Amino acid sequence: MLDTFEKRRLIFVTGKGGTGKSTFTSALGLALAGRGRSVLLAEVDSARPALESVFGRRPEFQPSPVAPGIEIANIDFLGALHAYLAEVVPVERVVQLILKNRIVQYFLQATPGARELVLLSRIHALVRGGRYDTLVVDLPASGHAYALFKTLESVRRLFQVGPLRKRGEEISETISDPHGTSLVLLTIPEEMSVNEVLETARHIGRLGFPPIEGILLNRDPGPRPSPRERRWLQAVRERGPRSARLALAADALGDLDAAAQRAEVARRRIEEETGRAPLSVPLLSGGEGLETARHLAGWLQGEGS
Amino acid sequence: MSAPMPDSRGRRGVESLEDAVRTRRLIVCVGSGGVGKTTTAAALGIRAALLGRRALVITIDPARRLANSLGLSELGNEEKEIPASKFHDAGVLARAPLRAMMLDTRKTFDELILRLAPDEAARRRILENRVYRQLADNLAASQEYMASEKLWDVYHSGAYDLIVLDTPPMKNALDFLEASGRLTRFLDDKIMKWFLSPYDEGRVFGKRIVLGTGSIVFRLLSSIFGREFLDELSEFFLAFKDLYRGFRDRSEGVARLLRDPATTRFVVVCSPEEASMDDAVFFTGQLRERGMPGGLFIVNQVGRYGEVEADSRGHVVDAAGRAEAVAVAEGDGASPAEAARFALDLERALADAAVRSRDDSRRIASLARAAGPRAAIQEVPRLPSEVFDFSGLLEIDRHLFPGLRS
Repeated sequence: MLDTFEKRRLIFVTGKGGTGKSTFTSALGLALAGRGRSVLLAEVDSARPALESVFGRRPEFQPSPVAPGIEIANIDFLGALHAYLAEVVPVERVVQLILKNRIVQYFLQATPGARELVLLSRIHALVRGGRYDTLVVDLPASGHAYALFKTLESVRRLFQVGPLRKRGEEISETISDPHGTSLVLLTIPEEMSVNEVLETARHIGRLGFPPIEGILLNRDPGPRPSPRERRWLQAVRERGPRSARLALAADALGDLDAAAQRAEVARRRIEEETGRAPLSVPLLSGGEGLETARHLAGWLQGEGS
Repeated sequence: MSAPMPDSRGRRGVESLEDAVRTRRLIVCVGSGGVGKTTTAAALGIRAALLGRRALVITIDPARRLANSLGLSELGNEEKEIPASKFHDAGVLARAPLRAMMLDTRKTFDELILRLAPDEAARRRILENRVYRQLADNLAASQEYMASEKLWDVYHSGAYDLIVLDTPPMKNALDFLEASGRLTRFLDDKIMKWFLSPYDEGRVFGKRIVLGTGSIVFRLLSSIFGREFLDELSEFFLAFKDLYRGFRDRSEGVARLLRDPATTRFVVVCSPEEASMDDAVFFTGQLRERGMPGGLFIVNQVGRYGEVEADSRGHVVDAAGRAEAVAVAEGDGASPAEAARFALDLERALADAAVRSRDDSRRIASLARAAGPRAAIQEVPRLPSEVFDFSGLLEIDRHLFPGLRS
């Protein structure tokens, strides 16, 4: 998998909230950097940047280094707007004037879609800028991620000519490029999360871009206990063990088996609906934030070789 | 009605979840993604119905998860009644009807135009405008506007004693809270006048270039959007002209509604994971800042093995229990090695679960500190299976309202 990601310049990560998008994004960044790639990890207009809890440093609009080969950023709307204006209006003083203008501000805030296009513009500019080998974008939860891409289609219909039309086309081209761009859909082995990821896959498929690299089944607890162990577990629970601790342990092992069973169902559903098995990412123990991301990066490096 | 009753634990002056479901008219569920917000909203709606309050659960989450858990094949912009048989089959009695709906942005927008447009011509002009069609349908931010529109509608329909509003995950919930205010500001008369005056005077928008103060702004806007779009947009605004007042009144109304402590309670839903807890604390601050009534928390997926400690030799299951497990396995044909392995797997599962449960308790305690003494935190244990059916929702209900019987 890492071999494939290494060839991409732009990787989007999305999935239902709570599926571990930010941790996965960070792990992917660490793994790619481990192979000598220069990586930018970016969130999009995040009020609460999750990358901060991984790297202990708040991502700002301007990328900042957090580890060898890794920088992080939060592409916020105002920053992206500033950058966008700076491209079309060469004089900084005038840019400032626009940004401070009340009418412009109201206009941009209340015109649905303006925001999305300006944000996508920034992503596009970062890819084209060539400063990084790979840009990994930690997108908001899938419904809104889809809306972000769908904006490009709207722009195409809305603007027959003009600068936005042109910009929209350039962005679409980058985002549709199967050699340069990937979308990774992340799910955990829970029915609702799988529903959402399959729905997103259908929507994105209909939209036609970005190219879906695959569905990742995160926090896969692995295979169920053997059928024989399950039978013994069942027997222990049925007899109502005299040891209260044994009863609790049976519950805990039962929970684990239930989780593994959900993962089995999730794998099967994803394969049936998309024709491709998901890639399972193991449930890794140990802490949160950077520690987990490093574990996961290590796993990605091992898995890919 | 506004005086909070003592909660199930009898703490006076602290409004409990039960108080809110019994007395408030609007409950807004907020929180980060993946913490069971939609399921929780559905469970609150069920509780209201059990208590004899006519309730509506609205989800604006694009992922459409609510229908599954309520046993409806799908949810749309129309309010659908949960079949009474659902309650009956689960052995409980709904004393009032429960309805649910999922917000359809486009339909809500169209309905709004139909209602607000003064005549057929104005209505057609808007519905056929290219900008309108795109904005109403496709673009992400419209959803938040329309959520507040729908909320205003159903609130004033008089059909419900309680509306439970599910919101998109955290970051977008903030957008949602802001949306009505943003629209109100945008519809500020002066701003609208600026956009509309060229058309009112029968001139094209482009003439702004020679019209003094507006000209720079116009040039700048066209450098971003292109002049063609500005013209289209002006036409759209012009078509909308007569609707502004209605729009503004409604969005101001929603903003007031969300801040009225006699009517509304925000419930922060979270899981014990660190990121979700951080979000909960952050959101508490946001609510305070905006003067929105909070103080209610639901922590889902709480581990229940926190009291398990290993003994001095590192065992979490006592010798008798381990022997029992080994005996069961050996009685069913396991070799001694297999039986020992089974006992070990049991212990390992419990030890891991205990560590995670203790992490949960620690984080909940710090949430309680951050939320302050007037907050009510209700824990729901991690359930052995995922909730996506009615009986699962009732099980959540039992944990949310431990003092009440179904």
